[in-house]
Amino acid sequence: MAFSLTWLPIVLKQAGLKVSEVPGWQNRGSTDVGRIFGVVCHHTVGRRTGNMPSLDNLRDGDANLRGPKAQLGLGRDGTFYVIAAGRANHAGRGGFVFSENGTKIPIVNGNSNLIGIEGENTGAADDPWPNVQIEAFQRGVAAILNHIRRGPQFCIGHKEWTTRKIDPLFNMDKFRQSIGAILGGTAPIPLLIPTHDSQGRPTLRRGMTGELTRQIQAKVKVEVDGNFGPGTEAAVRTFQREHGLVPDGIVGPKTWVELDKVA
Amino acid sequence: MFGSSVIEIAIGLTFVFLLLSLICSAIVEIIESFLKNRATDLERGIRELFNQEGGGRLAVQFYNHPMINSLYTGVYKRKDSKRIRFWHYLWPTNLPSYIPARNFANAVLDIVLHPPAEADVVRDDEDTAPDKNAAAPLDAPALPASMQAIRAAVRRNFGSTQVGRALRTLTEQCGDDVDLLRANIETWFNGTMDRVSGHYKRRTQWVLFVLGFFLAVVLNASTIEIAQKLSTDATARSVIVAQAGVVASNPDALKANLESNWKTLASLGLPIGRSGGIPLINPFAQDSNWWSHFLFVSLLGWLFTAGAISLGAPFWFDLLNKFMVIRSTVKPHEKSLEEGSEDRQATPTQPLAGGTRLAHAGSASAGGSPAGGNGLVFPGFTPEPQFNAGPDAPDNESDLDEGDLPIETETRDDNLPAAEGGIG
Repeated sequence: MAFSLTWLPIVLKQAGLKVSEVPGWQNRGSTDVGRIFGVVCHHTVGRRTGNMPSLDNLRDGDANLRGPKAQLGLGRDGTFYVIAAGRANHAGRGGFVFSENGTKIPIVNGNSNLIGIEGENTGAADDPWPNVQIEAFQRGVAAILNHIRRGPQFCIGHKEWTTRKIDPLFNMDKFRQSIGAILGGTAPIPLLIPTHDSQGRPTLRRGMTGELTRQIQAKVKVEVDGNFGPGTEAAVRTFQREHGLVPDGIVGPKTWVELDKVA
Repeated sequence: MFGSSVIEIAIGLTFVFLLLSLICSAIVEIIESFLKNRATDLERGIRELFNQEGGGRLAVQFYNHPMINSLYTGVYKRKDSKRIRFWHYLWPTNLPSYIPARNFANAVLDIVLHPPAEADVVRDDEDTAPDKNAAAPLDAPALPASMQAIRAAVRRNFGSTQVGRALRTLTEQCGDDVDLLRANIETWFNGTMDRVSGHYKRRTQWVLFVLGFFLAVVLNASTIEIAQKLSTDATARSVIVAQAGVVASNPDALKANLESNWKTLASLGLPIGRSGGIPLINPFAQDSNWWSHFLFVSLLGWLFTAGAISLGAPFWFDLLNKFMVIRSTVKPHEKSLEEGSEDRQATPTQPLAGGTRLAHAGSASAGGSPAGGNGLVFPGFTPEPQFNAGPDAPDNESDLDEGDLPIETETRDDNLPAAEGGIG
C-alpha cells in the first residue's frame, strides 16, 4: 500500500511547478510518515554538473545512510523530483519549536513529522542558486504548507534544525518572507511556459514526437529519430546551459529563438 | 482519542474477519461445487418427506421418474443404502441441488396414478425400453386425470402409509380441482425445501467454523494478538482503517476473488503468519509462559477467529459499514495536540487538512488565504488518521540524516525521470 504523502505531486503540479515522479515513489520510505507539521530545506552537496546529479543517491542512499534521504529533490531547473511518499532520513538528530498563534509545537522527530526537500547545490560559493530554482523552492514549500494548513514559519532550514548543519546557505528569514507573500497572495503569479511561440510552434518536451522534434535533434546534434527521449532532453539541457537559458530540456519560445540562430 | 481508537480497533478486527470470511466462503464454495452437499441435503429432505429415511421404494421411484431424472445425469441407485450419514456428504453426488416444485408435484401425481412396475429406471437407450413401458399399468381412464381417479389411486397404491395419509389429506382438501391439488403438493414440498435450506445453512456454518479454525491456526490469525497489535500500533490502525474504508465503500466487495482478498490481508501488516514465535511446533521452548500464552492467546484467539468466520462475510460487511458510519461521526471532533482542554471548539489554532486537499491545493499560487489555520471547518471534511496525531517521539531512526560527505555519485541528465507541468 502506498504511503501517505501521495498528495505531493498533485499539490506541486497544481501550483504550476514542474514535477517529475521517480518510479516507485509511492511505496518508497522506511515506513510511513507521522503527522506532517512542516518542511525542512536542505542542499545536496552534490556535483556541480547536471540538473539533479544527486537524485540516485537521494533515492537509494549510500554506505553511510540508506535512502530515501528526502521526499523531494529540487533540480537546478526548478523541477521537483518526487522521491518518496513515506518517511525519509533527512532531518536527523535535532529539534525545533514551532509556534502558531502563541501555541508552541515542539518537534523532535523531524524524519517522521517534517517533509525534507533537497535542493541541488554544491553548498559552496561557486554555485549560486539559480533564480528559477529558488522561486520553485519557495512556491513548492508554499504549496505544501498551504495543503497542510500551516503558515510560512513552518518552513525551516536544516541549519535551524540542528547546529551540526549549515544547509541551506540562503537566508531563511527572507525565504520565509517570500513564502508568506505567496501564501498571502501578494506575490506575482508565476509565469508558466507558453504552449506556443510567436510563430505558432508548440512547446516541446520529452515524450513528444514528430517533425519539429527532428529539427530540434538536428540542431542539438543527436540522432534524428523524431522521438523526444531522455537523450534528446539531455542534449537540449546542454544547449540551454550554453545559451544562458533555463536548462529544463523543454523547448519553449526562448529556446526556439536560440535554436533558430543555429545554422 | 480513546473512543476513536476503540472504534478503529473494532473496524480493524471487523475488516480482518471480513477478509477471512470471504476467503473461507470461497473455499467452501469450491468444496461445495465438488461435493454438492446441498443435493445430499435435498435427497435427505425428500426421503423424510416420503417417510423413508432409509431410502425406500418411493424415493427410488421418485428420483428415477423422468420429471426428476432429467434434472441430473445417471440413475438413482441408493436403493439398498441405509440412512444418510455424514460420510455421504464427503462423497460427490450427481443428484440435483434444486428440484422445481412443479416437477415434484407432477412426478408425485404420476407415481400415484401410474406406479411403475419395478422400482427401476427405464432407460430409453436400451432396446427393451418399449416393452417395459408397456408393462406399466395404465388404469386411469383418460386425461385429464380426475380427482376421483386420484383418490382411488392413493387408496389403492399407498393405503394407510404415512405418505398415503398425507396425500389423502391433500386430496380431500381440494374437491374436484386437480390444479388445486397440484398447488397443495407444491406447498407441501416447499415446506420441506425450507427445512433443507435451514439444514444446509447450519451445516455450512459448522464447515465454516472448522475451516475457519484451520485457517486461523495455519495463518496464526489470533483475534487476541491482532487486537493487541491494533491497540498499540497507531500506524497499523490507520493503515487498516484506510483499507477498510476502500472496501466498505465498494458495493462489489463481497464479490472480490480469493486472490485479491488474500493480497489485501497480507498487506495489512498484522501479526498474521508464522514468522515470529511458532507456538505449535515449538513445544519445548524454555519460556515458562509458553503454555499459558498458547492456551489463552493463541488457542483462544484462534477459536474467536473461527467463531467470527462462521458468522459469514455478509454479516461482517454490514458491521464494517456501520462502524465506518460511527467513526465518520466521531472523528472530526477529536481532540488534537495543541488545543486547550477546556474549550476545544473555540480555540482557533487547529488547522485542518485532509478532505479538501484537491479543492484547496491550487490556491497556493493564486492568492489563497494565509495558511496556518483559522479554525475553518471544510465541508466533507474527512481527515486522514495521522492528521490528528501529535508530534512523534524520537525513535531508533529519528537520528538518521544525510551524511556530511559530499555526494560523489552522479545521476546524469539522460537518466532523470520525465517531468510534467510548468507549461500552460
